[in-house]
Amino acid sequence: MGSTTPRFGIRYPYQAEVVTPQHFANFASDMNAALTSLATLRDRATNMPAAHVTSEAGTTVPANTTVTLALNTSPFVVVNNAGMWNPAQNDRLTCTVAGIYVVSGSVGGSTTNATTMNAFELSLTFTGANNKVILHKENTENNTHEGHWAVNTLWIMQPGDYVRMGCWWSGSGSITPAIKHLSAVCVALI
Amino acid sequence: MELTDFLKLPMPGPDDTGATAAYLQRLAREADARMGQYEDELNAATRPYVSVCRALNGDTISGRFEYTVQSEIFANTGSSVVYSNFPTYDDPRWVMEGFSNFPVPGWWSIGAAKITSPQPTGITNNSVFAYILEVRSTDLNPGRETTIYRTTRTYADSQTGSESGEIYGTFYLPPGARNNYVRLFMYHDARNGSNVALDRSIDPGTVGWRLFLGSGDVAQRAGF
Repeated sequence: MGSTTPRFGIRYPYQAEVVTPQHFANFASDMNAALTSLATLRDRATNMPAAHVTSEAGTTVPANTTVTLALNTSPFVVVNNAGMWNPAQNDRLTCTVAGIYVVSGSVGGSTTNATTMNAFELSLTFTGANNKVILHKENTENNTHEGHWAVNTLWIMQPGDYVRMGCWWSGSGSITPAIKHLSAVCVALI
Repeated sequence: MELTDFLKLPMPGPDDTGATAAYLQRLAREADARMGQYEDELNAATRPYVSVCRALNGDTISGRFEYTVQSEIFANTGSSVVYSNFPTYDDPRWVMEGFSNFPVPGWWSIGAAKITSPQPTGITNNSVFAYILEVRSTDLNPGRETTIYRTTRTYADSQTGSESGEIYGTFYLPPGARNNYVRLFMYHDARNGSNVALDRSIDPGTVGWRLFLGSGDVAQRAGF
């Protein structure tokens, strides 16, 4: 008969019982199950879902047009421990584990083909359970030189939700942002 | 009865004559308790303290929020804050304020980001549009507030247009600084332009902070 402990359900005999080999077998088996559970939890705690992909290839962005920045040419996968990055869908990171994520995007590159540039906008577009566009937008004082921009946010993502990085600018001509980074790191499970 | 070194589990001594049911019961309960502590710590590591809030309707000092436990998160249901006179460099104004009781000292990250782009209508040439994010404590020096952390993000405004951005930083909350204000300021430095009263809609977006619990690799995987 006996009873079990409150947290892990480890079986033990009543005090009046005669201890048998089965009691020790139960104890060993239940300890094994508890430690297996802890090992799974440890693996998650020390290896939270994360993805970081970069691509140095430029993407031409015409003026006044929002363009999704795919990491489509020789993407370098810094980390992808939860399958968030899928090369077949190279314009996004897709959540596989529900959580609160720090998401960052950045681009750098030449704007020398811009005749004039009045504003630049880098965005993170979340699609799924919590749709949202996070913008980093700057007026650029007719900047026709090198430019580097970044956008960061903290956002809830559910499995299947994905985030893409987009670029928009106003002016005339075209620009070719490159050195693209897109990353998402789970900082809290939900 | 002796205890094991690490888990402090009971162990029959050399003079104990055989294991009994009472011993096995105690062993199971002690093991359950010790492993339960580890389970709690590991769960905490995957659910660090996170709080995200958003300014509420039309109040220039709004979004007052309490520290939220674990992964609780507020829905983004706020709307814009409207200024009839946009704050200037000499008079930065809060757009969000939080008062919190941080439960433990340690490394925290803090950030504020606008969700939607503001719509400036009167910013003049060569002026600056900026945010300040700061954490103040009322505990470290009794009787006066102490600024623990302050960071500023500025944008040069050459012309009428919208700006949208975010501000982030990481700071160390020292022991004893449990009662803290978190404030987000915005201002427009019109000293280089004309100091005009501006009427516009500003959405300060979200302010979130989280605690890095434990070791360096926790901070590392969070990207800081």
